[in-house]
Amino acid sequence: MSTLTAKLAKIVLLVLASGGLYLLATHQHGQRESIRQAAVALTPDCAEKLGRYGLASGEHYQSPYVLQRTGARITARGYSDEDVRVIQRGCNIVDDTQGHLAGDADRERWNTTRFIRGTHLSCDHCHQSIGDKQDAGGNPMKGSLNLGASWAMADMYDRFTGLLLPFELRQMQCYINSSNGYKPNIADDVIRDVTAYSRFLSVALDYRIGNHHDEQGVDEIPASATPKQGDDHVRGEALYKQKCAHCHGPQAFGLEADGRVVAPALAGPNSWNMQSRNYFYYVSTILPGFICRNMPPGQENTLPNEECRDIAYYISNLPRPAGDRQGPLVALRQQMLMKVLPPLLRLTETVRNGEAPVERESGHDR
Amino acid sequence: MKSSALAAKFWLHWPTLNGNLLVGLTLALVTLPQAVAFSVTLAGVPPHFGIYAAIWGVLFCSLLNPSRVFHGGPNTAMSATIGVTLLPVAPPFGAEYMGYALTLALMAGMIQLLFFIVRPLGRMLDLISEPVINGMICGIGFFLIFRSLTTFGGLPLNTEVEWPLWIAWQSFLAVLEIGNLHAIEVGLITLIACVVVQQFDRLRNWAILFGIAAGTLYSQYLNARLGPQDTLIEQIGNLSSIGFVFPSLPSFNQEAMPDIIAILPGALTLALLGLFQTVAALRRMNRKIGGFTDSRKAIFSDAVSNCLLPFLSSLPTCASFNRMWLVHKLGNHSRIAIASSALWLLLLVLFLADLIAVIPMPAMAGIIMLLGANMINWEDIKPHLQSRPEAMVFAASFLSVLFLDLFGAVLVGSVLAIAYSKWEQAHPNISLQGNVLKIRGNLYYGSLPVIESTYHSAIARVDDVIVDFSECYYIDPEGIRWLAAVQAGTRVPFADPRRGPTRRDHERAAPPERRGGAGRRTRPRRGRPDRRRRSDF
Amino acid sequence: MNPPAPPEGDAPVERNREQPASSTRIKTLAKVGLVAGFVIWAHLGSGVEAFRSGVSSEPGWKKFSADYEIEHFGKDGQFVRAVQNGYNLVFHTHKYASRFTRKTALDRANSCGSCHTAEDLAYAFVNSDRFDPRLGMRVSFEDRVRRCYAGPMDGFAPTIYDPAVRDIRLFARAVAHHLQLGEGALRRKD
Repeated sequence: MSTLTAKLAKIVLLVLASGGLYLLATHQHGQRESIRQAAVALTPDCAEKLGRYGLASGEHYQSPYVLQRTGARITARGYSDEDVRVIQRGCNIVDDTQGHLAGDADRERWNTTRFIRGTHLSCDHCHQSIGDKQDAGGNPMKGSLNLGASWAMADMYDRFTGLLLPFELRQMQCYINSSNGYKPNIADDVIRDVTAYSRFLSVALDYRIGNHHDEQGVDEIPASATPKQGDDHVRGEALYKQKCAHCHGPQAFGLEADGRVVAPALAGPNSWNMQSRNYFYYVSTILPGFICRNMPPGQENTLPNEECRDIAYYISNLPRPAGDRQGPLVALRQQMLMKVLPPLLRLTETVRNGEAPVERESGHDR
Repeated sequence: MKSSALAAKFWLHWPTLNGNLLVGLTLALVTLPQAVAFSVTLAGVPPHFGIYAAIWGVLFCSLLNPSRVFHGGPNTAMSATIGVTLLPVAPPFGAEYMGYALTLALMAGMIQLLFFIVRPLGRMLDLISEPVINGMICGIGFFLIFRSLTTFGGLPLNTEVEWPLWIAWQSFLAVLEIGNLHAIEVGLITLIACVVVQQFDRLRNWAILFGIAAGTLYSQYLNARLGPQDTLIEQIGNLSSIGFVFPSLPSFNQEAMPDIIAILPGALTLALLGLFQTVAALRRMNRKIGGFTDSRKAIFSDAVSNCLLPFLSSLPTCASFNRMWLVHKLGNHSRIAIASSALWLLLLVLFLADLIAVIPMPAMAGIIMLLGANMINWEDIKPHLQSRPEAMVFAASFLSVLFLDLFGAVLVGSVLAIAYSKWEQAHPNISLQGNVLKIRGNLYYGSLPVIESTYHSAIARVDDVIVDFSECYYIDPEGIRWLAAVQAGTRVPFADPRRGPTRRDHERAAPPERRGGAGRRTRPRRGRPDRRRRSDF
Repeated sequence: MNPPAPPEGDAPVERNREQPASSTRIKTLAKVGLVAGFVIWAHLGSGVEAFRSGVSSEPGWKKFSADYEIEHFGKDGQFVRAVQNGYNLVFHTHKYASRFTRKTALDRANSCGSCHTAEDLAYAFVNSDRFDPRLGMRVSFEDRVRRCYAGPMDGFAPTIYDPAVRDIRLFARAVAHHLQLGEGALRRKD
């Protein structure tokens, strides 16, 4: 009889657990739906940008940017209220991925902090000006990682993954590069909202499918574009200390003020990992290209190519987390290096230079 | 007349034949959902791959393997390995992916053939001890549960994702937050139905079928009420174009080379997992029913099948202990039963294709989760926890599956197995009784450090130590050098030489005919176990 | 510890095998030959075409490729092959996506192309991912394709990343490039 009771108990327990899980799932679905229906609080930059591009629900959409620059009225399909909210959320995610400016970061940014290592990384550190960087004349800038142009030329073959990468999987790359091991599911709202925002940018800037634009992606800098004086990380260190350290910190751990990231970490636990294409040892052309075309903000395109390569090489030598591909042993090694090296180097370098120890900058205690 | 004689013979054997056919039908019905689930949920290939593995794989194995209890067929760990290896390489279910899956299986088959041809390699498989295998099986059980989560929730798999354990939590959250509720309902109903039926002893074997039936009925009801466009529950799909046989060519051309080289470790993992499981399943079967089957024959049948099955659109196969045990419990040890299961399956698939088509994927995922949970069997784990070395080996094997990928786990498992066996040998039994230092076990380079340290502490404590190594059954040259040094240096006497017959004396005294034919060594080489006399023991 | 004494005299030692080794070997080789022969028959004699993982060329592809300037993306390559597979899927759905449709060659409307032209798909692609008031949610292009497979094709819904869906999207993208469509492009009612 006791076995019968045991069996009954087992069945009842299973039914209760299943029911509980199902109710939880329904509840979470309801939560998501309520977030989708809720009005979106835009970040200041997003409000300005989306206002400039005239995002509003309606039967048609005409881009004010295109009208102003070319005089052409390109009429595209209009957006419904839900579409507008989706694009607004996407803009928020790109601008302020970690939700520093949001009231409730988890709700308003679809829990991106689950998937990102550290507290610094945000999409628009690389995709500057929320994926649409323009110069003073309002022209998109070459190699500025424009999201709209990415959408136009999406779904291409990617040699690093060896796959045809749909736009959504390309977004996944970013989570892989920065990730702490977790990734969103491809059908997650996080991915869909950023896709919707990128698509909106492409219509606002009038990009046609399959056309190449210079502002797409990174303007890579191979060694052949330099005087070939050798990529010297020691020279890079000197350049970094001279030109980058005052924003990014002497050990590249970034700068925070008032809870906002002024300049993101380029090394350390808050930075991208060794599987990222920014890592010089993996791909040596992308980070130099980014630096030359996008840094320092306001003084883009002032650095010679050789200097960009040197600085990129130096930055890649600073300790950073390991990617998934490197495996658990390397990950452990990198964690140890990130913990041990910065204080040690601070000590030895101040002893060498005979100065007082530098103030601890923010962000490296994580 | 010949025909009446034949008819008489047929009717004479009809009861046995009937019994065999029934057992075959039972086996076919049990294997069908597993085959489909493994190929679709784990391996990422269309269902006919698993079905052909369950038909042709089983037939080939039963033909090539003389053992009457052997039952090959599709396997969870191998299908999971295929899925994990190929996910970064091509999108699942596509033609490219299928080509790579066939190439992977072919490479695995060739590696298995190598294990057959090179005897010592095959012999090393016997060193894979129970704790290692059981640790891996438990780990793979968890792996199956976690991997099925996204399919259970009707969500796409995360491609480009490596396998760290903790992605499972994110998948679980994703299922809760964005999963297809209809799919979740179907999956839960399947699980509950399976578990309920499993509680009845007589219906245990049919639990999976009941579960699938329940899930399918519910999903058909949903589709009828809401329309398949709105529920968007994935299903097995139309199998009617798959016939009796579907020849296939694995992809092997220049442009596929980078990917083929990248999946080589996966092929090794696949081969090793197949061999481990076959050898372990046979070993368990032998233990339980008391027979003996040479594992080398099993390796041969596995290797040849896995080399040929990729040309028939099939998953690779290995022995399945559960199915072999089922056949044994049904009271049947005949290869006809096992072969007939393959033929029954062929008939079922050809005639029931329409019914199989509507089986929902979340139900398959639920089945896989249940199978994974069944692999975590406390009865199998408990014995290992009683001895510390076994517990450590078990834990290491289990954790390596969870935290490293399957390739790393297989490597760790192999290393552990060899280290475990060597550890035992390297620690002989040394005791000091009075002034006699008695060494029992192996006196070789591996055990010398332990022996020497004990020896030196002995001579420090006791005067006139006598070293007795008469019960050492293996002394290698390094051991002899040590003994000579002990003699020369401290002049410690050894115990009297052995009195009475020893094994070596017997060998030297044995008449020449017993030594197994011309061309063989007449004196055994020192230190190696004597193969000729194996059957005497 | 000592082994048992060997049997006296010349009594033969019991062996498991009843036949000499060479006969077993021949039998094994015969079995292997049988199995291998079956596989060879399956490939050469059964009349079923072997599965190859490449993309097969359908008539009409060359003309389509020329008309829609698919060579802009290269003469060959992963993307172009995917577009070709998309072409096969769109115009010969019952053959290339046989798992997801119950339609056969005998049915009248048995492919995407029976109802949609390539331009339809391209416009649908650039107008996808929008809110559909009838369904009350945003529907992506992949979801639309899946709904088509499940409904009008009287079939089964594939997964989102299945090439049966992905390649149709890539096909639509290639056509959209030829038509120089932008996001949200409206069809001119000519």
